[in-house]
Amino acid sequence: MRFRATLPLLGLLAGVAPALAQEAEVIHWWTSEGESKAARVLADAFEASGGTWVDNAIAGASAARQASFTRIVAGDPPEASQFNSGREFEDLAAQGLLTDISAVAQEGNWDQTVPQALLASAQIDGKVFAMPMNIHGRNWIWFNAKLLEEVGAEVPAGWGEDMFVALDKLKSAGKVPLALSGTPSYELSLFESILLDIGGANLWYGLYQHQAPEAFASAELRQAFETYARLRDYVDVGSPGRTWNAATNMVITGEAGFTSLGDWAKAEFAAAGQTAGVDYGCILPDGVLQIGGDVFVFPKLSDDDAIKAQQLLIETLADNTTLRNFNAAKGSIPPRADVDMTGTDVCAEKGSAALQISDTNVPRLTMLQPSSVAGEIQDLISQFWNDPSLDIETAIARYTEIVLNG
Amino acid sequence: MKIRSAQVALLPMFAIVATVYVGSILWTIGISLTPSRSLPIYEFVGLEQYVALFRSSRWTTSLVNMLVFGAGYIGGCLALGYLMAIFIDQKVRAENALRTIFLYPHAMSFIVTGLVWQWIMSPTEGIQDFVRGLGLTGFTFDWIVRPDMAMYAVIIAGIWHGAGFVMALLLAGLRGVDTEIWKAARIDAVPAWRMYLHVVTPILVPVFVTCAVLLSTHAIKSYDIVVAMTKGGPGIATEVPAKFVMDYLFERSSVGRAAAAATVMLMMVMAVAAPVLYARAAAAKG
Repeated sequence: MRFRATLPLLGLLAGVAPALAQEAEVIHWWTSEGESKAARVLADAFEASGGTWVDNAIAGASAARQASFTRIVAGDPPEASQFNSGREFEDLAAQGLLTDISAVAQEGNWDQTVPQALLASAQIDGKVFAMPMNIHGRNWIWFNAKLLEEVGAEVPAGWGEDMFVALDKLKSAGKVPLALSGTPSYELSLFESILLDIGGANLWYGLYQHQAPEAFASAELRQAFETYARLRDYVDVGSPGRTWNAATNMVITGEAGFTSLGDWAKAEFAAAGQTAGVDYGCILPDGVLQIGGDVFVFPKLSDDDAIKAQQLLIETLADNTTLRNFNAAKGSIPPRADVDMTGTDVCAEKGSAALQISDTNVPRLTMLQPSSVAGEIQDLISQFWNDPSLDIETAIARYTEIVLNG
Repeated sequence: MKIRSAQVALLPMFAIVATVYVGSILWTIGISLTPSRSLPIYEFVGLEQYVALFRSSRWTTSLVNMLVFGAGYIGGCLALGYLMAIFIDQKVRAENALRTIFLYPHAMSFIVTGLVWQWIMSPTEGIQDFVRGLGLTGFTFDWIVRPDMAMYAVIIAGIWHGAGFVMALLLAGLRGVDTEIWKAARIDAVPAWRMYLHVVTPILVPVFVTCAVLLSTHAIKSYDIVVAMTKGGPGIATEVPAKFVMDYLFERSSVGRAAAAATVMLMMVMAVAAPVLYARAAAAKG
């Protein structure tokens, strides 16, 4: 809010120069140090092309989302709002409150360059309403390479038997085998990582997109629950409530062998001066990357000047150079294949490779299911993880009921 | 004339109550009958949201947790608060200092209370770790990470926060007890504990009721202490209804479901409050 008040003032001080300053207010939640640097990249690009970026950074995704909703519904929309890739903005689009950017998508060949899963979540009834800004891979396994060597464990390929051999070795060496952030979202994330490893993209779409009865009855789903339940014995007692960065830190310091996290963990390894492929390693189970990311939506405006400013903003954000610089600052993968990605680390290269073919990447749960369903799945999986008395049969039955009943 | 000007002065207040409170409540009830997700959609779907609500095990767990928390928290606060009040009532030295210390936790927000107790109870850095460090390696105190015990861990933190407040109210009550009664008891050689149990406690019943009503509002709206201490975990073991409403309203973009949950909470409060109000009204009428 402070920015909102001061930036226009700064504009006034600068001389009120162009009578029609192309002013665009942007609501986003990139408030951490690294994130705000990334947001600054966008602001600079917009100002370089003649606009005035009115920064409205709100800490916390849900607070920022809520601010956007309230402003848009109340008829006082910002020029652009950040959302997560998914169905969060679906209701806004359905009520005709968002600008259709299909033309921009066509011009940029998004159907060729943006991963299918990501583009689909930006579309409603064939029209594009959201601009993908970045991609985060969510289902990585990270490990401490030196520690694995020390206890004589091989690097496993995923969540198969080889993983349990390695986990057992770590356990008997007195280490924490699996550092887990014991919060519902990361408990679900671990389950999803296993599910993708065992069932691949097929099962994923079968469950969450086609809601196919045979997917829910499949042996793979059962096996995923069994593997997940087995992992309960490999986390430490301090796991419940632990933050994701604390879990990452346990792997960095060699207190723990493995952790299951999205690629945002990489920033922690980098900050600790570690190198991918040397000090730490990354495993992409079954080579299937589960992706999510941030998008911008552009609310419909009525004022002509504002519409002009919004158009300029859309053009700026869609620019390849802007995207590359933004993603470099944020540590994420650009959402478009035509953005050059050379000079990154082994893990980022693995991730980019998985993005090239549509079989090896799937959209995250909230891109396929409404957030209320995703939330109920999260509750169930978290309950299953923490309460061993909840047997697999019951868990699968409830899981099926949640997804099918919507 | 005087009466009329008083009524005019009250009008703005009345208008605010009518629109902000009653209006919001009616709107919430209305929204709970619609399929609204992130935005309000005015389309009637009957009790669908309520059916979905009670199908969710998280909601039923939340309701049970609220009752467990309410019983443990109110009971614990009253018992401990009364003991502390009696203790201070013994004309102890440094009474002011003790009273301040006992009352101090209440000056802290539930968020701070929750965070502090989360550290104290964390098995890897709190009491358990400390005692094991002293050499008692078999010592275990891991309630906060056990789904079956975590709610009691939250109750302990709640009692720590609320007991001093109850003490302050009950101490005032104790000081209000007629000294003649005590003198009479001394002459009859009635032991102090019998006096407290059979004479003083019945006198203090209205104070106990006041405390219980005040604490029950904390119990029903309990949200911050759970968020700070366990975030509803492990699993869904410490979820509470207020947190359910908040999560569905914001995180899960499900205004209709959140409104249904809020309406059920309102009905529960009414169910508790109505008999109390009725009894009070009946008593006033004589």
